[in-house]
Amino acid sequence: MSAGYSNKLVKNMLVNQNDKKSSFIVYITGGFPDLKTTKELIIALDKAGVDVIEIGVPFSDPVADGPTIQESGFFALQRGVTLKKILKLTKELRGKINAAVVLMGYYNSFLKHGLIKFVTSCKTNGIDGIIIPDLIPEESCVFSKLAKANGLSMVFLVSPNSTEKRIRLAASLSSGFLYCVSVKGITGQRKNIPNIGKYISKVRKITNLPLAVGFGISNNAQAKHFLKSADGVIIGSAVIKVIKDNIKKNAVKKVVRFIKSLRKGV
Amino acid sequence: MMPDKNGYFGKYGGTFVPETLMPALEELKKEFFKAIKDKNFKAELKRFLSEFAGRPTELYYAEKLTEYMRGPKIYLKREDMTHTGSHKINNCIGQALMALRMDKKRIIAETGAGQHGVATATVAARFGLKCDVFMGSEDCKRQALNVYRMKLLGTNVIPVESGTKTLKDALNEAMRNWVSNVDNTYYMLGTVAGPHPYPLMVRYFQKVIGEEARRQIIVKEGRLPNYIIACVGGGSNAIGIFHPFFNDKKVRFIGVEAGGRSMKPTMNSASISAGTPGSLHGSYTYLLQDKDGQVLNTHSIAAGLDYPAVGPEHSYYKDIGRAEYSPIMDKDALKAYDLLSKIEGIIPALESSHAVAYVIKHIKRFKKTDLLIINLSGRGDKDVGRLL
Repeated sequence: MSAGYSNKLVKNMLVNQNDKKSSFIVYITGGFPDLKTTKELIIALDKAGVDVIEIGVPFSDPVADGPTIQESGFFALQRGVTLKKILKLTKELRGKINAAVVLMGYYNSFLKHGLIKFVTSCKTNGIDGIIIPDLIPEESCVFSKLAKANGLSMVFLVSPNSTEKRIRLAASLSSGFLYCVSVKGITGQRKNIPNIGKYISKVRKITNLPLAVGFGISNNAQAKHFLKSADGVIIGSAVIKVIKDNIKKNAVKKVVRFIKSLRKGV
Repeated sequence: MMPDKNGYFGKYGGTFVPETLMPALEELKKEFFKAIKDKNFKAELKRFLSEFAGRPTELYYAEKLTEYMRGPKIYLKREDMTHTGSHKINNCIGQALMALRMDKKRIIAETGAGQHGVATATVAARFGLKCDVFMGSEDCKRQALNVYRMKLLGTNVIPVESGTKTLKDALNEAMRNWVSNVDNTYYMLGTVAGPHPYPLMVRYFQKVIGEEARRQIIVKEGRLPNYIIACVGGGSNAIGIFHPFFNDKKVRFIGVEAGGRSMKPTMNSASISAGTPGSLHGSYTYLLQDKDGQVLNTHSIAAGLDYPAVGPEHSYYKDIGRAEYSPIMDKDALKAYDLLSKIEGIIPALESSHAVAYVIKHIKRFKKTDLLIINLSGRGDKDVGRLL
């Protein structure tokens, strides 16, 4: 399936980069509004050609997230969603989808699971990569080694104010792509489109990894703008909002339609 | 003891934050190490602690309590006598001077009971800094008087509606705000928790408590105390008084946690006594969490102790056995609050009442010849309204 590549995330991102095709990465909160919908969303997003699906592991104290993702996680937690249940779900989809599956969660959720147990269970449950917004490269020594040994990608984040030294460090430990945060801030929709040209070219000089931009992307114009300089875009809060607005019915259909509208003309 | 260069006390501490904060933390670390070698900075700090905060505070022989207990000789370190009524002002003066050094025009802070918020608002007013304080909307209701005080001091109080609407959520929101405004904003964290260098820096600004107490007890008694007792929420007043005695191996430390209603999950805030290590708010430390690593709701009658984690240095003291940590329940804290008011004429903060209550409850463990210092970290006027 991913012959020659350590996992599907690395494969999907590199193939796109070589084909000069933009990558679409979609974030959904695991278990929002329920695990059944999450599963349907993954299948539908995969079918719609999304390259990477990020599943958020709900956490009680998500300091990097704005209100939209916070509320979706809180909602899921109150209904008993856990990391174990999310892993069970991804296991059921293993080998059935082309999109890479990445878990995004806060460090304590994984730490409490036991790092060795977590990394090995990722491998057997169809997970290709891990993003931890509150784990900086310097603190990731054990985690990074374990991930590498198990063919799992770690994706670190860089920010517009990251120094060259820090970008180099984050890139050296990342595989699949490097997560470029579009603004100094938290997740969530924004009206303004920050000019990221200079920032992305600075990162580009340091690493050959595919670069995906995230935080605050909610419409076609923004996606197009970011894809002028980046290899991929990550859409999160805007998708959660679509789910929330259609929570009673048609959430999956509406999300797919929304993603298609974002990709128009790209 | 000093943490290692990455801010670890043994295996506790470190830096677990979004990448966007790293340049700010690195700048803060650099400036902090410069400042503490700077004679002018130290002179300014000393001057404001003395002339503005009213230091040194008394080390007061609690003769009536000693007589009443018929036990060891008890001294109270009177942090309740500082300007704004608690030890929080020590840290705020220090960090305000840091903000000025770093040319940050805006400061933000989190607060639970409102004591750190009031101390922050006070220094913001004095040093002409714009100030936003994040406070859980539940706490705003519980501590309306402190909300009023902050507003009077010119601070903007932002009620936090997310999560459990208490201190931990206020801290989350302050961190989010800092991430979004990192260029012009200084984050004035109120306790010895958070990412490196905060636990070290806040200790530096609070160690004045222990340094004074050490000098004072030698003058008054000609010897060091056998025990030092302090309440522990995040743990800044306790570290402040413990740290200067760290190498005095015969001086025993007792940290008193909030046992709340019971030791069952969500009924207390006793992070060390009832928690397990994990990562929250920037450091690896003892934490009240469930089996999935979700941070638990907490309870304490003392809003200043109502926090699910603890400073990493305390976690280290616990593991190496340098300090012992023990919970005191709400009802025992209330009894101590009442007793100290009645027999000493001192109304202690409910937080500090936990430390007093420990001595009352465990009086039998002490010998009559023992010498005790209780850190009376704050005054109880703020609690009167709630208990009426």
